[in-house]
Amino acid sequence: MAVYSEFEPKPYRQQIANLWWLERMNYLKFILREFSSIFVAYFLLVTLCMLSAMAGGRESYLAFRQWMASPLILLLNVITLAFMVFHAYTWTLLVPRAMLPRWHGKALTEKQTALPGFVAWGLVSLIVAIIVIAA
Amino acid sequence: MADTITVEVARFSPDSDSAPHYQSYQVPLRKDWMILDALNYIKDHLDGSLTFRWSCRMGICGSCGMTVNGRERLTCETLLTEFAPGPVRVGALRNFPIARDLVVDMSDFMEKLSMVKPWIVRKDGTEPVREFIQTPEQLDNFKQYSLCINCMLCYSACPVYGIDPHFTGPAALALAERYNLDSRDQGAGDRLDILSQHDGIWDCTVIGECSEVCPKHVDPSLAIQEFKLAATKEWYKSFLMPWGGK
Amino acid sequence: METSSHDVLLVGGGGAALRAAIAVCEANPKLSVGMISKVYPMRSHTVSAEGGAAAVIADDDSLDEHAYDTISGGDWLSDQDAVEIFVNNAPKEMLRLEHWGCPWSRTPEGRVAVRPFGGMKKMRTWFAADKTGFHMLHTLFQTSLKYPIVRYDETFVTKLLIEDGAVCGVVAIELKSGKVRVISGKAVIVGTGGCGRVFPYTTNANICTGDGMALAYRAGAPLKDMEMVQYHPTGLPFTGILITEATRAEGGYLVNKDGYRYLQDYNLGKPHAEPVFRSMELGPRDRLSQAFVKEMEKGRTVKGPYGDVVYLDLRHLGEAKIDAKLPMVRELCMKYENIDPVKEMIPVRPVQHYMMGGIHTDVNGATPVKGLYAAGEVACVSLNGSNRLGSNSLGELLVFGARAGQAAAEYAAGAAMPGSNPILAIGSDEEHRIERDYLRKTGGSERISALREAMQKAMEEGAGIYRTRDSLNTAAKTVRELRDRYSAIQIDDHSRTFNTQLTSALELGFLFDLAETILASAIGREESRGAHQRLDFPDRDDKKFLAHSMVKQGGDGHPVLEYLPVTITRWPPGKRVYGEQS
Repeated sequence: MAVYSEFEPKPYRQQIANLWWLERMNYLKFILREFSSIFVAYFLLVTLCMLSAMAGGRESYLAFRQWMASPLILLLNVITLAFMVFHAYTWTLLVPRAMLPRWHGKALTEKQTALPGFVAWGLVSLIVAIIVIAA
Repeated sequence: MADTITVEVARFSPDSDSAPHYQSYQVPLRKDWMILDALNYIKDHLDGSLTFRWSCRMGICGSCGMTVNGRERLTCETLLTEFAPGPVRVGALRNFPIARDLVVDMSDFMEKLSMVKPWIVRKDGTEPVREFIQTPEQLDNFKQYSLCINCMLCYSACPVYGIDPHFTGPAALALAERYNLDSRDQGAGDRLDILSQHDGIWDCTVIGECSEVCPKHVDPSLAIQEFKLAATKEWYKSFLMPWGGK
Repeated sequence: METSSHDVLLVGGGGAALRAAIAVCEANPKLSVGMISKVYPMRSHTVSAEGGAAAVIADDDSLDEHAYDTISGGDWLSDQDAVEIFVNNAPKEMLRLEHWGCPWSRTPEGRVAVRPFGGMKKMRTWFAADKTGFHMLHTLFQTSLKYPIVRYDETFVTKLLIEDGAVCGVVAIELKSGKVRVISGKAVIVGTGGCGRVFPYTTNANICTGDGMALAYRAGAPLKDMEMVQYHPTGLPFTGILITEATRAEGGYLVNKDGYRYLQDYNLGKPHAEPVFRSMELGPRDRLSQAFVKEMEKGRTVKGPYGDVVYLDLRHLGEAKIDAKLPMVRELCMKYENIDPVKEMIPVRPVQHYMMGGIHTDVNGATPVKGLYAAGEVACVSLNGSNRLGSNSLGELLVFGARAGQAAAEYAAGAAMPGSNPILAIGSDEEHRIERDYLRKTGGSERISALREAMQKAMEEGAGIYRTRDSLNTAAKTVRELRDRYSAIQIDDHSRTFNTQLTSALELGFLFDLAETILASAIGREESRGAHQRLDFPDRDDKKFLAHSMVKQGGDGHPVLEYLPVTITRWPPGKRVYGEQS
């Protein structure tokens, strides 16, 4: 029973649930988007390790590659790739959420604003892929 | 289509309840009825103690914001048949203290609205004899943000406000940006000082649910990010060009 | 019971009350101002106004023309000194609102744009898309936050306190806690709007229950011209939601079931492709609503599921124009009628919209009760006479809200603060009355909604667009019978916390008082003028009725009728002409 005194009603204080982010798809997508930054950090570390391994000479680099090929790390890297793509995708989609550019007075749509980001992402990926494959 | 639909309504009376509970009512399922019409039917014919706010019934006064099946809606604009065959659950807005049934305590929201200086600020003391010249393009810059009806659906949808009630919140920040972008205003600097605090614009983590639920398409999330961009530019200017004033 | 006091009190929180409050603060910053509203100010019904606010700014326009349009629009029942003050001050007030940030729609050069409107000979209606009232209210409310106005939000005034013939404050219920507050004030400005909920089909919101009119009436102030009830020609059939006159100003047509622009049969001119000032669809609202009734009698209206309708055709305006000038209309039609006005015609019918009548005031908003002022729709200056022109009421809020504020500020500066003992006694009595007759009431057999609906039905049938002595007397009898049953209302909600059944019951009490005043005034006026049309007295009678109906509450609680001559300055009564000849 609430402690009610006449003329001094106590409102009910709603508390947000601990697992609030499971209540809606949009909330879950948000948390996953933020969570993906952990994988971005991991990927950065892996890249630094790779550079360090390369700097150490052929053997250290081969040891690094073997480590990367081990099943557990391979699985982790696949998951990381998935989150990295998700991260880049949601990041690019945030551009129209942060700015509303105008062309001759008319506002661009969300798709139009996000498009350059996707195009740039596609182009850079293509260039990197070409370099890696050609090498 | 059936004749009736079950409407489960959240009830809470501080006189006798320690927490809200749901009560079910059978309501006629009319194709022209909004959720609000169902609530009025209950109050007029079944249970006169059901308490909720409403006024204009045309989506402009902002009184009737509630949650319908867990989503923020304006009940005067939400068709009952959308939820047929039912049951449909109507609850109070989230993240605000519940005063009674579907009525929440709005005082924090009112305070937040007032603190962003939501009026035209003139610093140089000049005012034209006739109207300020403002082209339709200049009006378009802030028009969208001026459409907020203060319904608070955005506050209910924002988890940041739910976790941290000190957050200024979407509608108040969008209103601040509305004035910042109005060509007649000279107060953006003042609002920046107030709002580029950690409870202001920087508390927003760009979840975007506020803009999703906004019934008037104000897009407060965009307003906040625009504000952040402007704040960041100001910050850089302030130490790169400390001699420039605003 | 809690007490507080201020120099000036505002009852109401809409356009007029906010403008008045700001005016008090600017006139005399030393005065303490309290604003008491039963809803938060941004919920006030000002928010629903759509079309625009008239003020002379075009080079080819003149104040005299605006005055003439208003006076002829009101069928010469307007007090011409009030009209002259209004047209003179409207441009200044509107400019002030623009400086305060109101987002008026603009011409390409950046000047304030104006559009044509019903009954106006020139374009002088300023507009903010089709949400003018919304923008005006939010601008006024947000600007009012600059001033040290103490607000009592969601506080329901139940009684005006009068001591020695002067107002001395109010008794009000704080809704969130149920506390009864006695707030004393040297001057009280009432700005509570109209009482459309006396009728069943109205554009008015739920909150428009005439609280201020009834409170002033019970406090001894006369109500003027209460029989002048405006029906807006284009409301949506089930909900009564307003479809703004701007649709017709931008070029919309009204057609009957045969697709015929029927207004041409009613002395409103000949149809043209483009709108013509003061002609056809841009005629005054009373004439358009009356034309609908006549069409219905001829069987030329369309039978809809919610009664007869005609169609408003906007299709020829094109999507671009509708989205630019009438976006809210499009939204409302799609949401509430499942119709896109770009492609289909909108079903519309006349619905009650505005009360030309209200608390009798002079041109400074002062009522005959010392210290009591009123402005806006709740008041009757009289600016609008027997029929209001569209876009005159938003300007009225500003002009007379400001004047009432200034007058009240002057009065309060010179008046003494009311003594607390008599106030507390009255306050305590009122608290007991609310307990005994409502909160602690048990038994009861009448549902509030049933009584309210029966009264509304009686008012629509007896005091609608066309009236006769019989229809009015029948309605008066029904209303009296229903009123007698009011004491047996059933109260389910005994909580003190936010009791909206209590407020509904109190509002119903106000509505009964006002229904009686409307009927008494309508029975007394044996002529047809403007919005008051008597089938048994079809002509205008300037000899007997170039006067305002004034009702005061008699000793038995029922209205007593008197007449007050209209103030004529420069426009002697003439013929009211629309169409090509005007």
